Amino acid sequence: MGQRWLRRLLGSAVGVALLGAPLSAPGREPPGPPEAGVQVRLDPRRGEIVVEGLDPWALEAVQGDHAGPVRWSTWCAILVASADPDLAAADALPMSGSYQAEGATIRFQSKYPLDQPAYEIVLDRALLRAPAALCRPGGETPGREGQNIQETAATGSSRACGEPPLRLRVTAGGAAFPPPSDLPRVTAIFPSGRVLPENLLRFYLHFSVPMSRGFAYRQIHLLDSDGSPIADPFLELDEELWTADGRRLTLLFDPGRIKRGLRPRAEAGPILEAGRRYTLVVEPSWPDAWGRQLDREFRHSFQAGPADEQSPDPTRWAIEVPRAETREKLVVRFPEPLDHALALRLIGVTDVEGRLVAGQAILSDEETRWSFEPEATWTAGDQRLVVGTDLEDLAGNSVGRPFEVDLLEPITGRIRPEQTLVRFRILDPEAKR
Amino acid sequence: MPRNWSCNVALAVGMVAVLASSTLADEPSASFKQGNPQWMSVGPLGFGPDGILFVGDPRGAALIAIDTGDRAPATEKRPLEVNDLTSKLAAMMGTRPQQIMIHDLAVHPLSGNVYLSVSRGRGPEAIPALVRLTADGAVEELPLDNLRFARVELPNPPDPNTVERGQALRNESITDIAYADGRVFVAGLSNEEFSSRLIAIPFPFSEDFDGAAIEIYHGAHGRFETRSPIRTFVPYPIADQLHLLAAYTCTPLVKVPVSELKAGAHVRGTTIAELGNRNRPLDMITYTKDGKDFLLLANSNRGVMRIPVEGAAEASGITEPVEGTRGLQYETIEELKGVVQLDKLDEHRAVILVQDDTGAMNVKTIELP
Repeated sequence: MGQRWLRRLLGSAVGVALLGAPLSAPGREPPGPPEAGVQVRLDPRRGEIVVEGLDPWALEAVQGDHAGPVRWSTWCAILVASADPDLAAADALPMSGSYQAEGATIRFQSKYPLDQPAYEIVLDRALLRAPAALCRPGGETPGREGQNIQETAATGSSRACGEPPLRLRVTAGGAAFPPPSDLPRVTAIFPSGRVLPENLLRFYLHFSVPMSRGFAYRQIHLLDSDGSPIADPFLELDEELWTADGRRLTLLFDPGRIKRGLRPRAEAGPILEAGRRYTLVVEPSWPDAWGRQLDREFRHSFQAGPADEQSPDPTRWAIEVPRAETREKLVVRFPEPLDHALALRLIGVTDVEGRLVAGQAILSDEETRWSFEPEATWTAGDQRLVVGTDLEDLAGNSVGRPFEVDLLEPITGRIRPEQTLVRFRILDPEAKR
Repeated sequence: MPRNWSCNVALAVGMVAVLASSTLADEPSASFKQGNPQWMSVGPLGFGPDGILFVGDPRGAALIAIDTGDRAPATEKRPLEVNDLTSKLAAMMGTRPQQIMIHDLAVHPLSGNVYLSVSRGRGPEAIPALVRLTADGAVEELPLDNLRFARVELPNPPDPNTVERGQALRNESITDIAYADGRVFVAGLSNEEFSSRLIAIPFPFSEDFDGAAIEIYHGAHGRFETRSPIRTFVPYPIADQLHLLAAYTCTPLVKVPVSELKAGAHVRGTTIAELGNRNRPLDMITYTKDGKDFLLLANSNRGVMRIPVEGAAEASGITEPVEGTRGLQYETIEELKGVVQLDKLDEHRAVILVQDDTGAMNVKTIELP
C-alpha cells in the first residue's frame, strides 16, 4: 500500500468539518445529507449498492498503488445492518460481491440478493474528499505512516488517521421496505376446533405479515394441561414449510409418534391423548421478515378426542343445492372437519359441460362447512363436486387412503383415481313452476 | 463428512492401489471442463484423490467433482477453530444467521483445509455455496459458476414434486457420498418402488455404473425396509473386502459388501447393530486407536457414539424385533454433545461442527477419543 499519496492527501486543503455520525440515505429518497459529500444508493433489482461523491483522486490512487487486484472490501465494506444500530459488530465479515471504482463512484455488485431491510457501508475516510478534515481537530493521527496504513479491515481504523471509518446506512426500496404498517401477529390457526383427534397430523399458523424462517421450532411449544412442555412434538424439518408469501407455516406432528406400531410412539408415547387438554403457544419473540417481534404471545387451547382412522367419504357429505339463475352459495357440510388448506385447494365444482366453475370458496364452522360463491349465476342441470383424492381430514386420512396404511411398505397393485366426483342437480326454474 | 480413502482402505486393497493412485496423480481431473456445473443445490461432500472434491447436488440429482486447486500438502496440519460460523457465513452472504444451513463438512486430506456445503436460505429458493476454512482463520467462498469440474447425473431420481409428509423426496436423492478404491459411492433414494439405493460410480466419471436397491431389517421397527434412505456411511474393509458401514434413522447400523453392488441388483444389508430409537445419525468416521478400529457416529439425540468395529466381521445380523439396543455396543462420548458433522484431520484428530445451546455453530478440532 502506497503512502505517498496519502501524505499528499493528508497535507491537502482542509475542508469543512464533517459529521462522523451514521447517516441515513434511503433508497428512493433524495440522497443523504450533503455535508458528508457521500451518497449511497441501493438497487435491489440489480443487486447493486452505489457509493457516490468520493474523492476520485483517492480512488485512482488506491488502484494505482496496487500491483494486484484491490481488496475494496477493506476500503468500503458492505454489511447487513443490524436491526439494532448500536449492535454494529466490529468484526462482521463484509458481504461477498465485486467492486468497480470509477470517477468518484464505487459500485458494489452483490453476489447474493439484496433482500435485507438495511445495509451498512463502512467507508475508509481516506476515500472522502477531505479526509484530513475528518480527523478530530488536534487529534492524534497515530500510525499515519505506520500500522494503520497497512491493509486492515475497513471495520478497524481509517487509513487516513486513527479515526473510525465513516458508517453509512442505506435502506432497501421497493416492496421489501418499509415494512407494512400491520404489526406481525398470528391471525388464524387451523384446525380451529376445540376438540381435535389424538392422531392430529398438522396445524397451520397464519400470520398478518411475512415472517422470518428458521425460528419455528424454537418459538412454538405444545403444553399439556399442567402447562409443562411436551418434548419434540413436531417434525423438525430443515426447510420449514412456508407458503411462498411467508405468511402460512405448516406444522407437522412427528408421524413416528402418531402411527401405531412405530417404536417412537411406543417409547415416547403418543403426543396427544384423548380426553386431555393442550395449549399451543407461539412466543412473541418470533421476528417477522423485517426483524419486528410479534405484538403478543399467541395461545390456542384444545382437547384431544378419539383417534380418527376413517377416510373422508364424499358420498356422506350434505349438499345444499343453490337455485338456478342465482349466485346463491353452494354449501357442503362434512360430518367431520377437513384439512383447511387441502379442502380449499382440492374441492371444486364443474358445470353441466364439465368445465370448472369460477368462484370463491370459504371454509367455516370449524372446517366442517365449505361454501362456494360462483362468479356467474348457476345454470340448471347436472353439476359435479370435484374432490381431489389427496383431500385429508385432520388425521391425514385421505379420500384415497387412510393414514394408518403403512407408507413404509410398498403399495402395489392399487390404482387410485385422482378425483372423486359427487353429482348434484340444479333444478330448472321453468320446470319447477 | 467421513474421509474415505483413508489408510484403512488403502491397506486393504494393498500396495497396488497406493502405487496406482500416486502414478495417476495428474490424471483424475484431466477430463474436467471449466465453467458452471449448473448447481441446483449442494449437499454431501467427500474428497477423492489429488484434492478432488465430490459434491452431491440432491435437487439436481447429480454428482459433481470439482478441482479445488488446493493440493499443496500441509507439512503440519494446524487445528482449526471458528466460533459462530453461521453468523460469519450470514454476514458474507448478506443474510441472517437463521437463513444459513450447513449441510456437510469435509477436511481436505492434503492441505487440512475444511470445506463446507452451505445454503443461503431455507426454502426452495435457497442459494448453494461452497466455503473453505483455512487454518489461518480465513473464510472463503469457492466460485461456483467458474471452476474445473466433471458432472454425472443419477438415473431415476425421485420426482421433484413428490412430497411425503413434508419431505421433498428429491432432496434425498443423495444423502451421503464417499470415495474409495476408484469409485464414488452414493446413497439416496430413487423413484422406484424399492427406493433406497447405493450407486457406485467409477472416477474419472463414466456413464456406465453400478447401483443396487438396498433392503435392511430394521429391528426397532420390527420389519424390512426398502424406502428409508441411508443417512450416513463410510467405506471400511472387513476381511480384506471393501464394505460400506451405513446408518439409518432410528438407528440400525448395517454392513454391505461393495462387491454386491451390481446394476439392477437388490441387496440385503446385514444389520449389525440397533443403536436406539428416536435418533437420527448425522455423520460418521472410522479411525484406529491403540491398534483398534472405531466408528465415531454423530447423531441427533445424544453425545457422539464410539463403536468398536472389531465384531463387524462376525456379526450375523439382526432379523427379529429389538427393544432398545442390540448388536455392536457403543459408548457415548458425553463431552462431544451437539456434534452435527465430523471428519478426520489426521490419524489422531478430527474437525467437528458443533451446535451450542444458543444455536450457534462452532468449528473445533478435537483429539479422537
